[in-house]
Amino acid sequence: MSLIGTDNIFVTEDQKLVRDTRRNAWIGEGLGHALLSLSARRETSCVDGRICTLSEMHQTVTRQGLDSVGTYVQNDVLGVSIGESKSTESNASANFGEAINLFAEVEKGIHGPDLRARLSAFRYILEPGLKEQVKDSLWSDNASYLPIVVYQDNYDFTTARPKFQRMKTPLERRRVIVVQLSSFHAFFDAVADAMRKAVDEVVV
Amino acid sequence: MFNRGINALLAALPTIADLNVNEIRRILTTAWLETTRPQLGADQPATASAETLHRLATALEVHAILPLQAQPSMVRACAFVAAEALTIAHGLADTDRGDGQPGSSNGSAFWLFGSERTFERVEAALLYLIAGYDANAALTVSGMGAEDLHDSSIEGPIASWAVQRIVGLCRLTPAVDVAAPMLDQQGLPARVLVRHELWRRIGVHVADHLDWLMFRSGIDPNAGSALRALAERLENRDQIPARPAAHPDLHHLLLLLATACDETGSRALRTVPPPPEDTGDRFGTYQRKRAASRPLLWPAAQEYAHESLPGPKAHAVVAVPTNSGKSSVAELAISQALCQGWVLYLAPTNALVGQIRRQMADVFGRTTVREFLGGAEYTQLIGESLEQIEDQQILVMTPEKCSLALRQNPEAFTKLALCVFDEAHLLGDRVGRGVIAELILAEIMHRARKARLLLMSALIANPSELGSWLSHATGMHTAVINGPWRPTRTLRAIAGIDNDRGAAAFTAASQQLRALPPHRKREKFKAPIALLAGLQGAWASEAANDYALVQTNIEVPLAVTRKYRWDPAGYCTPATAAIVQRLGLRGDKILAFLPRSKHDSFHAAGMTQFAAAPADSTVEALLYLADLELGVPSALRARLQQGVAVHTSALIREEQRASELAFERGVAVAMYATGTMAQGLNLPATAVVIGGTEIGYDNTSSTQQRRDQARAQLLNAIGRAGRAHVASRAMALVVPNKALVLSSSADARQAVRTAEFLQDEDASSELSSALDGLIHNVLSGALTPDTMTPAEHTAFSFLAFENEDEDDTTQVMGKTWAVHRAGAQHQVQAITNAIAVTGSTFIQEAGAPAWVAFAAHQSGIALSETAALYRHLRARLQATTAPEEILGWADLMLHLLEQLAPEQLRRILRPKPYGDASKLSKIFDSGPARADSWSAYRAALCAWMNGEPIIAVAEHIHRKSVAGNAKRGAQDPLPRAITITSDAFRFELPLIAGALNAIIVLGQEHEPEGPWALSAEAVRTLNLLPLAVRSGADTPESLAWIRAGVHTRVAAHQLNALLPAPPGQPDDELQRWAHARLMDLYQDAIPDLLTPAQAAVVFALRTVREAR
Repeated sequence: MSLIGTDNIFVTEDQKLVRDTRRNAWIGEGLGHALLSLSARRETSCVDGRICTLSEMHQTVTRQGLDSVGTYVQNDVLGVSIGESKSTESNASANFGEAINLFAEVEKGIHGPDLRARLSAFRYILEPGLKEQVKDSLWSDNASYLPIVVYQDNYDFTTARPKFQRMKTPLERRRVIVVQLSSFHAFFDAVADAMRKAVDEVVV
Repeated sequence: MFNRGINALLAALPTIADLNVNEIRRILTTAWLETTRPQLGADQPATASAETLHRLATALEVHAILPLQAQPSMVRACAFVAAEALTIAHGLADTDRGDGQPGSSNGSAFWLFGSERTFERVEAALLYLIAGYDANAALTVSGMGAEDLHDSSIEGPIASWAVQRIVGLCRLTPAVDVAAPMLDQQGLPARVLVRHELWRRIGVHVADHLDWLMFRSGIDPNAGSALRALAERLENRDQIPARPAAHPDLHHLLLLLATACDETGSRALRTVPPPPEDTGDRFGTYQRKRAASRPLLWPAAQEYAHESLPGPKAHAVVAVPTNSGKSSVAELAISQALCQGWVLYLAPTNALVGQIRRQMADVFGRTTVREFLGGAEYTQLIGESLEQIEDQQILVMTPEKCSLALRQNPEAFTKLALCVFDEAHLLGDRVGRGVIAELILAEIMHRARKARLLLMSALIANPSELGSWLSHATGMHTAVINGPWRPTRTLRAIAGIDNDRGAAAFTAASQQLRALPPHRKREKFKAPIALLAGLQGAWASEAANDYALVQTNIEVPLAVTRKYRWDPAGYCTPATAAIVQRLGLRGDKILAFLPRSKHDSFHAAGMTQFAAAPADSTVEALLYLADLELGVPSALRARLQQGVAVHTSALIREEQRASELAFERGVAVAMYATGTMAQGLNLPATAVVIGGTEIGYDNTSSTQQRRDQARAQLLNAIGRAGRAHVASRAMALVVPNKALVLSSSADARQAVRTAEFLQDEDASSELSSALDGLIHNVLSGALTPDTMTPAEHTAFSFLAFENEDEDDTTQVMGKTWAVHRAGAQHQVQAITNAIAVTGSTFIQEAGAPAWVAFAAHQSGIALSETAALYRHLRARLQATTAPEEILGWADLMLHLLEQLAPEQLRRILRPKPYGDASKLSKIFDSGPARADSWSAYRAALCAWMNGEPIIAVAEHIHRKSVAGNAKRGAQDPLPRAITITSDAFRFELPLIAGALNAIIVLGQEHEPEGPWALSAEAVRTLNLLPLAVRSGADTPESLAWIRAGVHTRVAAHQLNALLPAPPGQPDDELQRWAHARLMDLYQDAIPDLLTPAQAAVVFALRTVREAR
C-alpha cells in the first residue's frame, strides 16, 4: 500500500505529487515491464529478438536507477536491454528527455553497479550458453535502449533530439516505446484498484 | 606495468569479443598513465576513457558471477581486471576533475549505501580480495569513513553498520564493536523488514569471518557458505516462470562477499597446522599475534605452508619477485622450527642482517634473536665467538660469520632446526662469496641432519636445480616455490628529451648564442622531458602501440655549444634529479639509483629539495654520532633537512642507518643510492628512478660479467618500486646516460637499446656453482694450486679439516652443489683425495707444515697466503719477542704483509679500496714508493685504532690537504678514508689478524718446539687483535667499551677516557664492567660526571640503542 496508497483520492498538492511521482511512475514502470514480458513470449518490436530474462521491477520508485534490465536473443546472439519508464499526463517531451539522459549516463559507465546487480540476478535463470555471451554483449555495447513513455497529451516523438542522436548505440537498438492513454488518471486509478483488490500488500 | 604474475593470472581470462589480453593491458596502463598526468605535469589530449574501463569491469565482473560453478582461476582473473578497471577509472575521473579531489561527474548517483563511487570502491576492494590481492583491497577503501555512507532512508543505519564491517574485511581491520541497530518503528512494510534482516546478517557473517581470520573467535563460521546461502534464498528457484533474484543489489553484494570470504578463508594464517613438537603452543602464540595484523598468507607463504608445514618437513627454494612476501615465508618457517631447535638466518650484508634482526625481534621478541655482525675473523674471545648457541634462538649472520661458527662450534649444528638463506643467489657469486655460501650449506647439510633449508631469492631462474641439489644431498623433499605473483604493478619508462619542444628550446638558445660575443662558448637552455612508457610489462614487444609517449613539463638544463649542438655532458644526473624533484613534490616516495659511482648520489641530492620534515630523534642521534666519528659535521645532515636521503659506501654506518630510518619514517621523500643498495635493504618506494645504465664494477670483471652485473643490478632496482600498502601501482623511470630524443612511441625500439635490461622480465638468472671449475679440474686431473682461482683457494682452505676429520671433508664435498651438478657423487672420495693430495703438495712446496692448512681453514684465508704468513711470522717470532700490546701486534701484522710479494698481497688485500692516488696506493708496488705507502698505512691504522676521527685518519690517506673538508665528492678526502676503513680495516685486516692467531694457536699444538710459545699478555693481546682492528681499539680497555655495546668507535674511546677501567681485569670482566658503567650512564646513575658534550654523546648512544 505504500506504493499505490489506500484509495484514489488525491486532493492536496502533496497528494497529487505522490500520485504522479510514486504511484503512477511505479505503475507505468509495470506497464513497461508487462510490454517487455510479452516480448519474452513472442517476438515484438520492442527488441530485435526474444526477451530471455527480465529484471524485477524497480525496488524503490523514488530512487535513481535503471527501471528495467533484460537480455534478449536474436539469431543466437545475446543482447542486453535497458528500459526506462516515464509516466506523464502532459509532459512527454521533458520525460522523454530525462529517459534519454539516463541512457547517456549508462553509456558513460554510470549506473554500473545497478547494471551489474541486475544482470547478476539472472545467475540462476539464464541458460549457460547465454551466460557466456553476456560479457561479449556488455563489452561490445550490444545493448538496446528502450525509453518507455506512458502519456496522454499529444507529443511528436520524432522531434529531433541531439543527445539521443549522439548516442553510440546504433539507431536500430534505440527504440522508443510509447503508450498513449486517452484517460490518463482513470487508467492508473483502475490499475491501482485492481491491485488493491488482488493483494493485501505489495511486497517487492 | 604487468609482470609474469599478472600475465599468469590473466591467462585464465575468458575470450571476449574482439578483446585480447594485450589489449586489456594496454587499456589499463594507458588509463593509469593518464592518472599520473598531474604528477608529471603532462598536458596532452586524453586518450583513455573511463567509459571503456567501466565497460570492461562490468563485462568481466558479471561474467565471473553468472556461472553457478565457475573456475576459480577465471573468477580471480576477471575479478582482478574488474578491480583494476574500476580503481583506475576513479583515478581518471579525479584527474579529469583537475584538483585531485574525487570526481563528481562519475558515480554521484546513489547506490545501496552511498554514492555509486563509494559502492564501487567497496566493490573493487572485494574484487581484489577475490583475486588474492588483499593489500590492494585495503588501499582501495583507505580513508573511507562514515561520511561516505549516507543513506538517509530507514535502511541507512543498518546498511552503514554492515558496510563498516565489510570495509573492515577489506582492510583486515575489525570495525568498532557495536550492536546492529534495531528497527524501532511498528508496522513497517515487509520489504523493509526483509532488507533490514539481510543487512544484519551480512554484517554478522562478515564480522564473524574477520574475527575468525584474526583469531578473535574460535570456530570457523563458514561465512562464505552462509552468505551464499543467503544469496540463494533470494533466488526463487522453484517459481515458474523463473524469476531473477529478489533484492538484486543485496544479492549482488552477497555473491561478492561470499566469494571474498571463501578466498580469504583459504589463505588464513590460522589454517596452518602446528608442528607436532609444539607442546607449549608456541606456534599458536605466533599465529595469534601475527593474525592480529597480518591474518592472510600471500601465495608464496601459502604454497610453503602447503608443501613444507607442519614442521618444516621439507626444504624449500623460494624464488619469487621482490616485495612478494619472502620474509613472511621465512617467518612462518621459523615460527614452527623454533619448536624443535635453533634457527640460523643467513643474509649477505651486515645492513641486511641488522634489518632482519629488527624484523625478527618484532615478531619473536628481542631475547629470541641474536645478531652477529662484523667480520668472520678467527677469534677465541668468549662472547665474540659463536660457542654458545641455545635452543629456540634465531641467529642472524652473514655466510662468512656462519663459516666461523662452523669452525668454532660444529657440534651446535646438530640441534639446528632450520637454516634460512636470504638472497641465496649469493651462491652464484664468482668472486669468492659464492664458494663460502655453498660450502657452509654443504656443511650444514652434513652436520645438521635434521635441519631443513629455506633458500630465498628474487634472482634465481633455476630454483628447481637448487631444489634437486638439496633433495639429493639430504634425501628429503624440497618444495620449489617460484610463482611470479606480486602485489604491485610497475610501469617501466625511459626518459628523454621531447623532440618538438626540445628542438624549439634548442633553436631559441642557438639564436641567443649567435647573438653573443665569440668568447661565449655555450648557452644554457632548459629542455623538456618526455617519457616513453611500456604498456605491457617488460619491453619485449616491438609493436609501437605497446608504448606511449608522455609529455611532461619537467625540464633539464642543457647547453648549446658553438658547434650548435646539444652538449650531452652532465645530462644524466640533473635529469634524474629533476624527475625525482617533480615526483617527490607530487607525493611519491622515490628511490633513485645512480649506479655509476657512489659520488653521484650526493651531487644529485644537492640538486633536490623538499619541504623540511619534522626531525626524528633517532635520525638526529645517529647524525650526532656520525659527526663524532667523522670529526666533522656530516654532509648528510643538510641533505636530510631538505628531505633527501643518501645511501652509498661513501657514508659511514651511522649515516647509512640515519638515511634508512629517514626514508622509512618519512623524514626523507627521496633516497639517492648506488646500485648495490638495490640488492640489499628492503626500502620499498612508490617510484624508482634509475639515473644512468652504466654501473661501477671491478676492473677484473669481463665484459659479459659487467653486462650481467648491470642487468641484475638495474632490474633489481626496478623491483624496488612498489609498496603494497601505499600504492598498488608504481613507476620505474630510466634516464639513459646519454640523452635520448623522443618523438613518438615508434622510438621505443631505438630507446630500448640504451636500456636493454628493460626487455627482461626480472633480474633472475640461471645460477651455477662457484665450485664447478674446481670439481671439473679434479675430475679431469687438471687440478693444480697454480691454476686455482682465489675463490677456489678459499674453498681449498675451507675443506681442509683437521686430519682426524677426513670424513668431514668427504661428507661436505659430497653435499656440494658442484658435485651434484657434475653427477659425481660416486667419485666423492676420489675428489676428496685429489684435493688432499694437491693441498699436501702445495703445503710442502710452500715450505709449511701440514697443519697450516687447518689454520687456513680456521681463519678463512686462502692456503697460499696462510702459508706465506706462516713463514714470515715464524721468522719474525724467531728473531724478536712477540708484542704484548694490541698496537704492537697490528704493527707486526702490517710488517708481515709488507713482506708479501705484490701479487700475493693483492690476493689478500684487494687494491680497489686504496684507489690510484691515495698515499696508500703504492703498497702494491715493488719500487721504492712502497715503503712510504706502508708508513702511511701504519699511521692510518694507528689513528684508526687510537680512536681518532675519520677526518684525522684521512690525513694519512689523502695526498692533498684535508683541512676539515667534509665534502663527499670524488676528489674529497672522506670517501676514500671511509672506503679504506670499511673495506680494509673493518674486513680484510681482521681476517688476517685472525689467521695470525690461528697459526700461533695451532703452532703451539703441532710444533711445541717452534717459536709459538708466547707470554700471557702477548696471547691476550693477539686474541684481541682481530676485533680491535675491526672495531678501532688500541687497548683492551677501549675495546671493552665497544664490546659492551658502544658501536661508535670515537664514542667508545671517549668513554674509556672518561671512566678508566680498574687495572688487572681479564677481558670478559672488563666487558662486564664497561657494560655496567654504560647502563649507569644511560640511567643517569653517575651524576655530575659528564660535561654537556659527553652527556650528548651518551644521550645519542642511548637513543640509538633504544631504537635498535
